[in-house]
Amino acid sequence: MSSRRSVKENPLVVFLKSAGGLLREIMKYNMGRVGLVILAFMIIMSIYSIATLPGDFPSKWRHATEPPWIYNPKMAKPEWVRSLGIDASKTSIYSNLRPQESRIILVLEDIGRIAPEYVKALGMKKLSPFGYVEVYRVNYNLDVNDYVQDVLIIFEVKASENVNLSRIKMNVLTLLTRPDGLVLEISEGAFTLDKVRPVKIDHGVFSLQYIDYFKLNVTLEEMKSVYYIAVFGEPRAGGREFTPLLGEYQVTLILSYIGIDPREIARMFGEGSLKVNVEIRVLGNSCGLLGTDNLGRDLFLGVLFGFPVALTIGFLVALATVMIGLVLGVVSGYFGGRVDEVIQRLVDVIVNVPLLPLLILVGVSIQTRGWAGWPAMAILMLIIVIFSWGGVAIVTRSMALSIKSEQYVEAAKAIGASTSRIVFRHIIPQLIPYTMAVLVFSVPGAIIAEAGLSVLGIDHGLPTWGRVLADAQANRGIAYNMWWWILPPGLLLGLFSFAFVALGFTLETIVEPRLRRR
Amino acid sequence: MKPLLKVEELKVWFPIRKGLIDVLFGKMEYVRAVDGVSFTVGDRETFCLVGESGCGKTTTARAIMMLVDKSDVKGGRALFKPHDEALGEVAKIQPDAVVDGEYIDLYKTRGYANKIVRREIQMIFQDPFGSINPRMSVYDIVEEPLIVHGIGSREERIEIVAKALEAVKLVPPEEFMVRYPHQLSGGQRQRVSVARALTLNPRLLLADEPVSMLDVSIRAEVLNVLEELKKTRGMSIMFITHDIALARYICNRIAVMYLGKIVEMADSDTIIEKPLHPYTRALINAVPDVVPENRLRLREVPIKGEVPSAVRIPAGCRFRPRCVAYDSNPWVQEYCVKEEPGLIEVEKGHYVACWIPIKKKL
Repeated sequence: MSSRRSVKENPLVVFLKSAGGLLREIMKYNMGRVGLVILAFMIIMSIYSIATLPGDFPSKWRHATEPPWIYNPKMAKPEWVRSLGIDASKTSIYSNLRPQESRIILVLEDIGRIAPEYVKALGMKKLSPFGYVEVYRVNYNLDVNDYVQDVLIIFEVKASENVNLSRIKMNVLTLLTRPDGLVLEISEGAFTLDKVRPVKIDHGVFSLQYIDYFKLNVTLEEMKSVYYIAVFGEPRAGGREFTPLLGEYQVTLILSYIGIDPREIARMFGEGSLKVNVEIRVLGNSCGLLGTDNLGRDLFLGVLFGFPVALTIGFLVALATVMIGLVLGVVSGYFGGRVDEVIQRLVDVIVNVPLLPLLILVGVSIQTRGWAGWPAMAILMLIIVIFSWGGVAIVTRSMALSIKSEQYVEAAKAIGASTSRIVFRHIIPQLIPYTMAVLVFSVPGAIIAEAGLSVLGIDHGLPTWGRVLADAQANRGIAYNMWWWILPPGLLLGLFSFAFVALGFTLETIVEPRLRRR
Repeated sequence: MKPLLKVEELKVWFPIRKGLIDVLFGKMEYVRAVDGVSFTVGDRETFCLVGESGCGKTTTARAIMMLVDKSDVKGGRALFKPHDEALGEVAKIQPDAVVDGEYIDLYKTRGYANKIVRREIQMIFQDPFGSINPRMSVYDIVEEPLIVHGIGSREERIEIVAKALEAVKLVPPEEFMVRYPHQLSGGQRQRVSVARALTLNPRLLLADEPVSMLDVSIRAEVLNVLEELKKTRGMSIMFITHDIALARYICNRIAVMYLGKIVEMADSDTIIEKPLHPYTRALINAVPDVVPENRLRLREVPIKGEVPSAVRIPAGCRFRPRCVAYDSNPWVQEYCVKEEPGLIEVEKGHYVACWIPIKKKL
């Protein structure tokens, strides 16, 4: 009798089948479909986030005044706003550049041959670059009525072990050829190759030349406060006002290596035992998918990291809360007597402890101890779990009380079933639909609580949506009209909650047919 | 032949939860659901417990099934004679529960000994809709006792379940195994309940009003199944019902219960034809008559008043406030008021707890 064999199936198969059935059931409702679509989106984003972001991302995010964030424009709008006609200059990053010219220069005049703009800007007055010289050029088109935040040059030195980097000196000189023909020297620097630093626009370098060229009657001190406007702008009213100068700009970077025999340096570059990677960044006022915050952190990355955090924390906290509440509630209701009394008094206590002040207290104590990241978050979540299973326990207790007097429980006792069998086989399965709905409903709770805490100033150190919002609030993102800082995490929080509320309503309708409208 | 089950002066009192003061001053009050009940169930016998709602029949059964809290059993004992093997096992682990070398005192068994005894006594519950778990398939329900008692491999269990379903005429069994309770009719559910009780092959089956919640038209199918099982498997059945006509149809002996006590006990024919207790007479007269010409005739049921509360049981004979015979027999009134009659054997095998037949006999 083969059909008798198939009466019992593999529990996993049974589970998958019932899960599939549940999904199909949810898909029958509009709310359920919407919830599932959002949930699927969240899951996909979480997977993408985990796959692309490095493991130390939270710590990177915390150290906001370090690379890579300081190489980004600050308070930059999302890049796509440019296509909406909003004036925001684009950020262009030129990496893996190859020098257009490279040669050994020993005679002063030679620089004019490989970099005529140098002569145009500075004439022969200055000590011109000599030794082994490389010239890089990139073009940047300022196409909207906006300025550029900075022109940043980043170096990365790679050398084989036998190269003594401290003996090689690198002189950096940056020229900007403007659409109006003016060639400005905008920055310079000099360091040995073992201690390279990024180079930015330096008002001290260009101010004199600028004032001379436009015959302005402003002081150097006054130029200091408007330097980036001046570099990409045209002065009006004698230098009191500026308008952006649109058109094609050219950045010329002249690197000259000295310190040892230039032929030796040329040989090292030639055979690859010394390599200097140059990256030129023209930092506009738009950057990335979601812009940057006041410290240059890419908000898309911050928000992206929030996806897995929200899902993990939401599910873990909800699962733990519901499981503890379910088991203790059932135990309380089923055993009664002293066990019941103890658990119910415990519930009375935890339900009546105000959670938010407690969390703030714990949060502050975590902060003063300097804990940050996942451990800090885990402690906060633990507190939330410990103080929120009470509600579930109260309801499951009352349900267990009514189920335990059902005749089938009595029948199970009559056949000699053990207490654990009765609890796990006969009582808890009856509560599963209810607990599923509660579980789904309580998923957003933890994330909302976390966001609330963050906004109140409790820093757990993980880049979450709440944390990003809190940063926006603390750094006056609203005052600066930085909607791209506030809306994405805020909307995602709302969307996340909505997805689970929609799923919760649908599940409720499925497990409680009386709620069905049709 | 020694009886299978001996219940001796069994008392099940449920405490009423009172205020703190009452507890402190020891003023506990009880619902005396079962108030000193003695009877025996013989081997391969069908024994009936008859009485109106609330008289303690179901509590008696639950007490025998050890489903009431042991602390609520306020007196008496229930002795059960299991198979020799089971007796030996219990004697090994819990010798103090063995009485007379043949019986086991049910209320002294604990843990594993208790489990061994449970295997031999099974019960069918009144409500076919409530007594089987709606979330389990028929197969899971019927298999559960086997799993609990660790009987058989999976293949063997499937065979046992199939046989049990065949025995209760749920054929073909494969088809019923995968069904859920909501896909079954009331009669089918009750037969599932019977099948579950059967898988352990018990010696004693307690049937607590197994057909009272079924349509009259499908009662017979359950009753016939029980009757047949009794014959083929040699089980004893303790049948609980409020329907004395039904009791006569299936039982060898009948005991009538009133307010926690047995008032009359005899062979079923004797009790129907020559009832001695006024309450038994009232029960018999209350049976509806299907003969059409009797339908409109006003029948007199010789009983008055309402059932008193089981908390405050009347002094003397507990049936006195409702007794019609008390009014018409002034000579016996002094006894009825003073003292409660015991269950006295007035004829061979005919026990009654009423002063009138007892005093007449003396």
